[in-house]
Amino acid sequence: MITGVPLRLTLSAFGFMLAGMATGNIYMIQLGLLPLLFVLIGLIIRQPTLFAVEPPQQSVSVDVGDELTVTRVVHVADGLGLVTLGEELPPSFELLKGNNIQAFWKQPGEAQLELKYRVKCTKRGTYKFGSLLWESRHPLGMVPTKLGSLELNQELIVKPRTLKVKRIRQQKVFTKIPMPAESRIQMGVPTTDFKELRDYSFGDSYKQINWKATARKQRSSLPTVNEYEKEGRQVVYVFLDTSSHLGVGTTLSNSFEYAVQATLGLTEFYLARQFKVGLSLFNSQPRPTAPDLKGTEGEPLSQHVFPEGGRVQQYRIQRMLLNAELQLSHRSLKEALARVRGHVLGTNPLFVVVTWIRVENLSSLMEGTKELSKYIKNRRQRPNVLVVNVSGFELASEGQENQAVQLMEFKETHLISRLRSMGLMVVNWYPLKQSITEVLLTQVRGV
Amino acid sequence: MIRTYIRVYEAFITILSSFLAVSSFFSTSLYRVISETLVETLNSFHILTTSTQSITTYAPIMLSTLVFLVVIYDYAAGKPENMIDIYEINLVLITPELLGFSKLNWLNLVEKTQIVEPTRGPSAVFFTGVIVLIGYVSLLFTARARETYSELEARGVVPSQLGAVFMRQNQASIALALSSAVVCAAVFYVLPPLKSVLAPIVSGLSYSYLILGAVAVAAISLGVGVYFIEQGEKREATKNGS
Repeated sequence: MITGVPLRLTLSAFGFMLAGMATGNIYMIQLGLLPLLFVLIGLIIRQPTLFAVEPPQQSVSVDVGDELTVTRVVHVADGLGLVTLGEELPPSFELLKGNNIQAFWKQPGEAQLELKYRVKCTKRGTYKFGSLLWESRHPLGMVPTKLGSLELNQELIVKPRTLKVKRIRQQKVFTKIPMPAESRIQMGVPTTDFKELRDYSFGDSYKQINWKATARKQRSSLPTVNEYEKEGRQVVYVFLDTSSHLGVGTTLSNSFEYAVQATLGLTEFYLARQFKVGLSLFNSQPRPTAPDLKGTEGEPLSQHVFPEGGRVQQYRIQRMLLNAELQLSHRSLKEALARVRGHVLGTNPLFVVVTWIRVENLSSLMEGTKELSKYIKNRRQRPNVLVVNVSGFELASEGQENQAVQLMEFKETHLISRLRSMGLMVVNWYPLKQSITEVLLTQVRGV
Repeated sequence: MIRTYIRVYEAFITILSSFLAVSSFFSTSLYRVISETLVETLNSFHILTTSTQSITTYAPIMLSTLVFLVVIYDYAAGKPENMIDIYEINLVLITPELLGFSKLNWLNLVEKTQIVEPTRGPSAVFFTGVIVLIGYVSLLFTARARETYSELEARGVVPSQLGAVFMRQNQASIALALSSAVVCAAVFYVLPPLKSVLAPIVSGLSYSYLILGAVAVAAISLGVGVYFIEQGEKREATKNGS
């Protein structure tokens, strides 16, 4: 198969030759040799066809906003000509240096081509680099361009950036950062801490029977046993808002991205302190068409990670946050809580709600937090509910300080004070002005 | 920068080949015949003026201007089709002089005295033709390389890589055109002594040279055809194998 150009040249050559024949003109015949030779020599030259790529690392993990240098080394065994290498990039990636499509001139013999470029990973998620595309052209374009692909099968995990929360020693003394009040675990190994007396039930050890207390009882036929506190870890339950208004701003810089980062930072903070941490997604502005509470059977489990501890739990939370998107959940805070109530009931947990408080979602949040406080036993003290408000006005204005932003933030403080009046602890975070660590440190007494 | 160099080369080869083609045309007896016929025609209609009397002076200037205007336009446009236009104009201009070396002058059959009579030697005419063909081939491929450049540029390839690829493509096409021209020139110089060796053998054959020539062209065509088919089959086999 050849392209139109060599055919045109060949026809020119034969035109000269036939005209030379017809007129008996040897010079015309000789001139006809020039394009013919050009085509014949051109067709002897072969374009590159044998490609092989050095297998890349199977899985690469980076944080959101990180810069990544992608390098693909391709070996070309034969041919001469123009080689174009390229691979598809996720739309949310930003090219910083080089290009994901590059052109090389392949000289005769074996050659090693390097496709190298630098990208900024601007969005969380798991991406796949399936194949590297190549395009090989004849040096003179005499034969059609060849296309092919080389298997890469590389996975790129872009993790939400963890906002490191510094450890504050003796936090009960110095900090207001809420921690779970105490352990109230229903199952687990009994400790030596006495809890209460109760009637004997099937399965209880005879050692637990309190004979003196049993003797004092006159009416009941059942012996009385000592109940001890169960060994278990305290529970922190985080709720992350996925309502659409958190998406205001750019792909990289919006309230939702910072909310995800704060969630990840807080979960890591509590998991590192041996707490059980759970995570659920909710929507502070659920659509009217969202399914009601009765229809929760078909709800995807990816919206909830039930309380557990350890590294595996951290991994689960990370995976969930990797795929967290705006509007992923259509349930209000109250509905989301109802969905996981079995896992928090009796644990007296600390609830953390990460959201952006707006006029539109205030009532939904108030209703939800009221419901949360029902699961906290120690109501005389401040309820263990921490609300992290990720303020996005400045993000939406791309970091420009202007009066409109200040006005909106002022209005926001009014909404926050309404939540605070309910006895909740509300932390107000302006991501462009301060880090989450700084925000939490301001809660430390005396600092 | 490399694009500028290539444009300079294109300008050089365009001007050179067009100049040689125009010179070739004015060197033929055909031009003299045309101008004399024109003067006679104007005279017969009694519209002969001072300017038409000296048409042999003005016509070359007018024709050259016209040719160069068209050629400059095509050069400025710079597309492969424009390069083909330049070649076609040049071909038309050199054909009369080339035909002057024909052994079988068909134009003389119309009872005209030698209207395509060469005034220059065969080497000058042949090398004019070679330069016109080098110009055609190299201009065609530099224009195609420019198209490739624009396509890759639109796809976002960085300028440094584009420049390197563009330079290599042009080097390849120009080198190949010059190599072909060298082989043609070698054939041109080798043929006369070879002719003296082959002539006694060929003259012994009882067939017309036209028949021998037709056989030779048929053999070349067959060879080229077989080559193309074989190339196609090889590529098909490679495709299926991979």
